[in-house]
Amino acid sequence: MSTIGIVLLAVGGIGSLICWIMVLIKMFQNEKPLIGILGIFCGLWTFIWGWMKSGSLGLKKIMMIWSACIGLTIVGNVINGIGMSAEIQSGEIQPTQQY
Amino acid sequence: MGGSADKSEAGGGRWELAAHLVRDRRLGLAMLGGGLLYFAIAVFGWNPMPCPFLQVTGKPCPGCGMTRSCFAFLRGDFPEVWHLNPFGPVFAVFWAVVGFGLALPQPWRARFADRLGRIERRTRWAAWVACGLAIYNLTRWLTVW
Repeated sequence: MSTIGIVLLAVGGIGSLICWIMVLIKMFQNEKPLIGILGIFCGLWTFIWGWMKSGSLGLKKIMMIWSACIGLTIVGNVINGIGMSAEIQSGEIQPTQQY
Repeated sequence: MGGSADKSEAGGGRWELAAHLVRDRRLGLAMLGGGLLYFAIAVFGWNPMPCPFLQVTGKPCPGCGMTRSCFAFLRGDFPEVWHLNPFGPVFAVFWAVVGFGLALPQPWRARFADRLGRIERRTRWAAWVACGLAIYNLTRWLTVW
């Protein structure tokens, strides 16, 4: 089960990264450079900017894909967490304190 | 006529960040609101939008640790701020200033934005912080921290 979670996390993560870069390029093309740099520091602000400009800059498709990727990441996280808990409870893996 | 816009576009407008977000009220409110919502959710220990760069590469982006750093800053835990991301307080103060500007009614908002813009054009603080953050992040990749 945790394998499914990891796969969803990977797909969601790669998709989010690609969408982030695409929206970031639009940000640099259409806004002041410092706004673009703000988008590099935090994907959240790129995400918000992307949705705000989705109509005028034709970003709706990319933003919907990005939103779906975030959803996949969240679902993957939950599934992975449930899978790991089950494996710990069944004794298949030992919990670690490493972070 | 259009004093704020003229002052922002005349030459030094590219160095403005906070002033731009105060002038473009819709964008400023959306970014501030989104950030506050994310911050509020993070208080409960959940990260609703994990960093895609960190997930894919395993290396932190310049913004990684910023939220936790802001929490530590508000708690007064400065060693933790330094450990997580020393630029967290800079962003906390930045958004507080933007929030203050956005809350002002006209014409004070326009005057505030003009004054803020003058300070930003003179100091170019955002560009310096961006350079510092980029250098800091490179050191994180080299696992100096």
